[in-house]
Amino acid sequence: MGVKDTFKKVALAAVFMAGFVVVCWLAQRNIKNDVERSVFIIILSAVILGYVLYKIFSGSIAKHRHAADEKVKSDIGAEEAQARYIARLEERLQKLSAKLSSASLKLETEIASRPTDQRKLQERVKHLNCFYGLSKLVNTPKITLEQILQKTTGLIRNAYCYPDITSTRITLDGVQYKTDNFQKSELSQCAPINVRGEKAGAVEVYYFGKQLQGDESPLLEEEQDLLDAVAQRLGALTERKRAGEKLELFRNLIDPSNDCIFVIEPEWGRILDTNYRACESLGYTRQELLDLTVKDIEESITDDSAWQEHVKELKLQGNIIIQGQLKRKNATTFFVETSLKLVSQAKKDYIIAITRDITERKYAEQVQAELIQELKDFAYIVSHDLKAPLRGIKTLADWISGDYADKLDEQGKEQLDLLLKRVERMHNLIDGVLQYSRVGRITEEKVQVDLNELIPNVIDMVAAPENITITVENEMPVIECEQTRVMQVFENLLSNAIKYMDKPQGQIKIGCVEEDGFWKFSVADNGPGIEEQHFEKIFRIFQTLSARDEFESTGIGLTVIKKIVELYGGKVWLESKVGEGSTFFFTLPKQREEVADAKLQANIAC
Amino acid sequence: MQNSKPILLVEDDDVDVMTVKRALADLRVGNPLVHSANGEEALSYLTEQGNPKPCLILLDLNMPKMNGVELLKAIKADKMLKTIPVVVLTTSRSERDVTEIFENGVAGYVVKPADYKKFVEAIRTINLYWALSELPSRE
Repeated sequence: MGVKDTFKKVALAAVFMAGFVVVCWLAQRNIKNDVERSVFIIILSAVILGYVLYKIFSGSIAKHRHAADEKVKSDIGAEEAQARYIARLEERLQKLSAKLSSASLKLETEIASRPTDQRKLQERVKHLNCFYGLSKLVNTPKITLEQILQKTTGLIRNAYCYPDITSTRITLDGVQYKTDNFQKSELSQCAPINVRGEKAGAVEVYYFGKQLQGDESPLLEEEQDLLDAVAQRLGALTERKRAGEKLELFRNLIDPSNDCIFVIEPEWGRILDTNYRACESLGYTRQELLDLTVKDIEESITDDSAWQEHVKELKLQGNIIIQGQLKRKNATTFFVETSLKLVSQAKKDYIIAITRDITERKYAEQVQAELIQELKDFAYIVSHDLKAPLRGIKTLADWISGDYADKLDEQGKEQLDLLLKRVERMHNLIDGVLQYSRVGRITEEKVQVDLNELIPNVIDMVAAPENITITVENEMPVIECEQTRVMQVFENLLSNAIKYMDKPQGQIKIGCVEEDGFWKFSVADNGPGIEEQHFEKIFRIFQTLSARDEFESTGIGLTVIKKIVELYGGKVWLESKVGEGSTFFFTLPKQREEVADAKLQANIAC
Repeated sequence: MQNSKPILLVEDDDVDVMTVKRALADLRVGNPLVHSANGEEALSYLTEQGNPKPCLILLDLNMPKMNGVELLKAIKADKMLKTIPVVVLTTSRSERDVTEIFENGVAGYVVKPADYKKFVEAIRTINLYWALSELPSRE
């Protein structure tokens, strides 16, 4: 404590004292005027003064005490205290330096690890960029798989630490996609591309830079992970893309197909999908068609129950073919044949309907029917019209040979005879053609015919010469047929057997057995027999095996038999041995066959 | 025939006409024979005033211009003509023809035999029948 401080304090005390006196003086002066205020000022001044004085004196008292202590300590054991103090200080110092070193260590580590993290972060970003790039590629409209694969090679390369000295190659189904800097090297990573569970290719990455110092590889584990992930994505993408392409190809192919194709829901016949051809044929847009049901476009399906009938049959058979008429938007119709197939997918039933425009076929059928009719008419009219002049020739030849018998010499008579014979043959031929054209064209009512009665009648009709015996070998059935036709068959067979009989004792046997739902009839003779090479020929029209002058034959009889028998759904054939005889067989169904019946009906309709 | 009215033969085939004439001559049928070569000719003969109405018409079916069925329909539609018996004399054996002809009120349907002798027999039968059968008398 110096002189300066004491002076300062004395000065301060003097100033305050002066201040107090001034305040008191002011208070005293004012007391008369305002007592309360004066008192307040005095009290306030006293308080302030008191505080200041206290401050001044307490400071100097403490200083005096401290000095006294020190004097005592140094007196008692200054050295001991000093040692303790130093130890305490050292202890503190130690603690502080430990803290400091740990902090600096932490700092060092932090400083040391910062570049690694930053690098890792950069790599992460690269990897993410690779994935983002791939996603972007995939979502590019109209991009092909090939384009994606080619661009992915660059994406992968850029995702690696050292893109400049890294090359990438993607192989898929033998086709390679490479970065432009592609070269192989020993340092590489590879990941397989699996499509539908089978290896279809691979993604390879080659590092062709210098070896890094130490054991460190320039290709990181994380990069292998990236490669695996990319390869996996490419595999899935290929699968999807190919399925999509196939679907698109299929769609493109079925759209312009010749046939209208519909996918139909079975219950109400709603149209679920259709191809372009259907829209075009029907004059609807695809969207319009998808709002319709089968009832709206098919004439024959007028209500739900009609559709249900088809579905019922379809469920029974799996697939059916129906003919009908499709209705266009403009209400016109066209003939179609529709093949319906029931298919199940994911436990739901669908119907695939493939509809073919058969307008042309229908037209052709109509033309064909007309042609057939024309041909039938032609055969009839021609033969009819041929007959008239022929009859005239015959009549005139008859008159000449009668009226001028005495004027003709032998040669003239012979020639007229030949003329009449030719006329007779011509007449028979025309009759044969008429008969043939009549089979199936003209039908009579089918009746129950007892062949046990009919055949003897036929035998009477054919009037076999005495040297030929005709026998019925067994009990004949009762059949439902057109009597005239069956008579014709037996008559023609018997007259052939009689006509060609070359044995002095001719034998003709008629038999019948039941076989596989058919009656098998046979007419066997012991005539000359027929060589096997002629078996087919003899059933053709106008085919005969002998000279016409030897046997008067038109070559129509067997043709008529064949036509009649086949019309009834049966067959006709023969067995024969030259010199021993022939047996002609024909079958007739026991039950009237619906097919044959339909055929007959069709013939009537013609 | 019961009377001397003519027989009208509607036929386009000359040989057939000769055949009918010859057969009638052979059978000594005294009725005159009027010949028309087709339906039109026959109809104009039938509707011509002053021509004697025939007692029988022998009608061929296949003819040019107006065929037998058309003529038959025309005759049956005409009050003055429909009582005249018409016998079809044809080569046609078609069942449809026969039905159609009878539906149009024909009196008979005879298929011309190819053989002259049989033809004469057919004409004889026709002649006998119409000699026996009563005929409506209009005049």
